[in-house]
Amino acid sequence: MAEPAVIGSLLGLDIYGYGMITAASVLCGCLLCVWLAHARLKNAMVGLRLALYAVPLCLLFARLGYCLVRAPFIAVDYVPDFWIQFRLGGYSLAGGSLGLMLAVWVLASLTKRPFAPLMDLALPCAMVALAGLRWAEAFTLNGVGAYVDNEAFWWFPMAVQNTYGEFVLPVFFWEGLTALVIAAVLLARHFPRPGDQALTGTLLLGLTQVFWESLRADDYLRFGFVRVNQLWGVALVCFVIALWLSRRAKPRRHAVATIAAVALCIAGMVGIMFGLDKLPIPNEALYALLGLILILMGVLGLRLREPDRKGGTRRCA
Amino acid sequence: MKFVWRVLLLLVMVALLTVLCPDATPLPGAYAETEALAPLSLDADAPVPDAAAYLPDNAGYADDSLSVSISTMREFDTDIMVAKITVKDASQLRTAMAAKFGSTQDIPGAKLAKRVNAVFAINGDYFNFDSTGYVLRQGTLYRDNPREDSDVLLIDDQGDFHAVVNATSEKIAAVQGTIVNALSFGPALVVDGQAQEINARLLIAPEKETQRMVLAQTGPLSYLCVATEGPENPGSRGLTLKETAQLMVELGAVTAYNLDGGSSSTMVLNNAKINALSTHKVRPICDIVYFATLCGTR
Repeated sequence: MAEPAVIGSLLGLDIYGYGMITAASVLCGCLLCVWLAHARLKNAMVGLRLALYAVPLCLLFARLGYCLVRAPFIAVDYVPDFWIQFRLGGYSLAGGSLGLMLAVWVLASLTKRPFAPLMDLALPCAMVALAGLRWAEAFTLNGVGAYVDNEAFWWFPMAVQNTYGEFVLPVFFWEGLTALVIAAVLLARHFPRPGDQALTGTLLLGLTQVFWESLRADDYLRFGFVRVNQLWGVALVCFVIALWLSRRAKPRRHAVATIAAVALCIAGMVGIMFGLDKLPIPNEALYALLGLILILMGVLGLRLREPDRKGGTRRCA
Repeated sequence: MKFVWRVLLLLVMVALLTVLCPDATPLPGAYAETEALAPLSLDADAPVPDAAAYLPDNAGYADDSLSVSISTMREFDTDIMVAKITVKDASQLRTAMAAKFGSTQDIPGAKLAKRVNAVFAINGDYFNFDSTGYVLRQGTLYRDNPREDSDVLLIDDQGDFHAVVNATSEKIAAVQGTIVNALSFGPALVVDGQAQEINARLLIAPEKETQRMVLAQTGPLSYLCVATEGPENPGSRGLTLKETAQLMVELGAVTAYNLDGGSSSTMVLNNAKINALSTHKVRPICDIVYFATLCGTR
């Protein structure tokens, strides 16, 4: 881990290690997109167009998301034209995700194709790109977690050294690995219903993001003590569960029970995040509990994805 | 042909990412840092303290330039830790940030104290929590946006405290002397040896019995740091701000200023947190006020 360092220049502009890895990982995502479009839709041009829309929109919205969250600080602490100076850094996952959805929507509208299959195409590619984006944080001071004081764990990927020579948890590595595993799961499994691949990926991303973000002790985005990426993760999970729930044919009480279970899980997560700071319970136990709650929510969500045993689904996406 | 052009366009866009994405978070140049107010040699590393100068049982530290004496007392049904500090030179009273200004990064106070070779440290004002406050650290003004109805503590190059009550930018600018550090939490508890009326409109729960952290001056180059325990610690109820002000007058404070309390309350000696240990939790913080020695290894 080190201060972002210039490693070269392009058109007179500085190139950073983070930027290089970012570009490489986005390129991998784009290539995968073109290949998937060719394999699934027999039309590589669709994948290329999706990549062409997604790259600028993700960049723009990731920047916009960062600036919106930090707006009160930008007003007093930052250089006046920070909003438009992309070269100064500052991006958000939530904004980037919205940019991706917008890109898919634009492509779907322009090509008169259904939205869901295009999202299915986009999500594994986005996960591949995200993996690289996370690993790129190795070239910055970000993406790290708590101090690792136990010398037995002073080895990668359990710990990395920061600029002060202190050993810290490389959360960026585990987040990148998680994104890659999600991509692999999405690509390896068959999803018969359009949209389920994207929704499954979104659910897994949201759940894992809540966990990994809780471990970050870096320059993460936050509202006061509330971590933005955790909020975003919970929002994604709720969105997916609500969508799957809405197409179930099961009776109303089943829906109410599911909503109550999700609400309880969220309340539990809020309690755990509070407890990490306040409760006299070891944090290891609280993290284990958080993991269990997230697994429970995952199982709950994935069970909703399966068709009803009686009566089938009410409608398809 | 269309396909080729699109591929080329995509490659150009991807290549642009190399220059448009230096980091997920802003680089130091993103912040409107102003010039140093005075040419102070405040950015030099403090010497590494001599381990032998620490007193046994966390009782403090003593060398030719710095004396730290830690004691505990019990008042208001609360365990209270008091540190009396005397320095040889005003430059030994310093502040440090967990990361570059503008970062939201927090780290345990003990880790930050170790980084800067602090002998003794307490938490600061948690300036990165919101965008208000007057943030001046080690001679550099980072933010001039005093919170409405709040008090600011200014520390000048002689090591003297100036409490600016109901601070505004104009009031702060009117203070005489070269200001080296400023803290924006408050309120000012004691000014000129007199306990202050606590402004009920303050946002830091003045009536709440909780952990408090106070930085005070008792005389030239003589200071007090007081950490009270709170309801999270068995056997302690915590103090209201009024009680804290009363306590500081009893302890001989001329100027006393309330810093971030609650779980942020951190007192560090010899690179270890020494206050409120019964909670077993350490909240990371974004800044510390610390005392350095002049006699250690450079």
